[in-house]
Amino acid sequence: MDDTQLMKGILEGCVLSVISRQETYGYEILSELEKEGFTNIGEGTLYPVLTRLDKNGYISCRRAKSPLGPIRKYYSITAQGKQRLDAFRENYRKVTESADRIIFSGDGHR
Amino acid sequence: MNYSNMESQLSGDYRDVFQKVQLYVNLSGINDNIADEQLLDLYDLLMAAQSGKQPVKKVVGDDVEKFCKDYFRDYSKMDHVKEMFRRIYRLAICALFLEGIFYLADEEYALPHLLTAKTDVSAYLGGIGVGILISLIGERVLLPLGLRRRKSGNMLYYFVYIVLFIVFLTVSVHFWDKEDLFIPLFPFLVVLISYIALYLLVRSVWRLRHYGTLRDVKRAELKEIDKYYGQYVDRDLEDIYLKGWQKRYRRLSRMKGMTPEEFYQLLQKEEKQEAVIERFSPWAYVLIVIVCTLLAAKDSTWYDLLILAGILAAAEFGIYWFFKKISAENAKTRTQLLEECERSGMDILSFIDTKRKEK
Repeated sequence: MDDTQLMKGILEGCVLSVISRQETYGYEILSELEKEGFTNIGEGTLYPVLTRLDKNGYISCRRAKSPLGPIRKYYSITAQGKQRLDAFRENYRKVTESADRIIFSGDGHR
Repeated sequence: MNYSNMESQLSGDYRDVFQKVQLYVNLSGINDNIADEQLLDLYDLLMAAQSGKQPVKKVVGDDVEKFCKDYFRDYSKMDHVKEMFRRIYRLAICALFLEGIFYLADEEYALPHLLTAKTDVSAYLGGIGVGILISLIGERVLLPLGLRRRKSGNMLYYFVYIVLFIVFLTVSVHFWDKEDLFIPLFPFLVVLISYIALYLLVRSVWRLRHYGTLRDVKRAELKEIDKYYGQYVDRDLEDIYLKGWQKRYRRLSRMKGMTPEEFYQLLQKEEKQEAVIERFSPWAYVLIVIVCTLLAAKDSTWYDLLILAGILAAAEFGIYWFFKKISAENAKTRTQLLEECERSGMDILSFIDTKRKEK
């Protein structure tokens, strides 16, 4: 079973959650996701998510020099983004509770 | 945007990926502002991965072609349409300019003839056809080959692209030359001018709504970033000079027994000579324009001469400005290095060694 679709459904919420912790940037977000077990997420997957979050007003970004020299985009969550994250967490909790009951019940068939 | 400066900061797989994404941008016809912004972000990521000695696959995955498609996924159909209108706008300006030149250069030039004159649109149609064909070949044939190549630069693909463009254009000019397609000139010019005016109006309204100004804010912001990168990679230009001086000194000391002091004086002398050349070089360009115009004078009418002088002056100015920009950056770096060496009190060789160790 391909887990890609499962990943796509929760990636936006996960990225928003990482950004909510502190102002951060693309590579740091990738590293955080990898640390938590989300391997194989590259910038190609992350960038459209960040663009969508930015367009929807859930995050804001500013450009500043990085310690390495290049200009870097730093992302931070907005008030609207915090509301969105709270809603996502509530929905995620409900869905996973229900899914857990079905997937991990002793008798998985009717 | 000056990508060569950024490329020089990346090495190995990181540079290879960055070049491939540039190839994708150039051959897929992605809008400049969008491309510049996303390439800047990608550059930052690659620099961070390189600095952290992380594999480049962490940033782009296993398949560069898939990465490019995902990375520019948000480049929507509407963005493509906007880019198309922008290109038509640029074509309209070129066509207007060329028609103006051809009409003024016509021996029967006279404003009243404007209403009855005809223009041959064969070349324009041929050019548009070639443009569409070469875009398709670039995107569907050259780009996939370029993205799948092993490590090598993009130059081969750009070279093939340009050669194909020239070949097709030449064939089309030859073909269309036999197909005279004349249309009335005045309506043709009116259509071009109307399109240009309408495009500028729509663009102005859009910018006012989005930025509150008529300026292209995105382009201005990216130009500032480009200037920053120019400064940031002066260090690399420094290294190029330091390495070059080191090699040159070794050769001169081996062949002529030159000492570091003599080498330093040689460099200073060359600096002064460069300054003299810099002062007189504009006059060389002016002289070229004057000589060519005078040579054409005996067989031309005065307004033809004016047009010729104008075109030559514009072309010479472009060439002069291009080389001046490069030589100004080089001169600034060389002068700064020599002044720093003098202030340090070290001989030129020790100075070069010390500076290179700092990098």
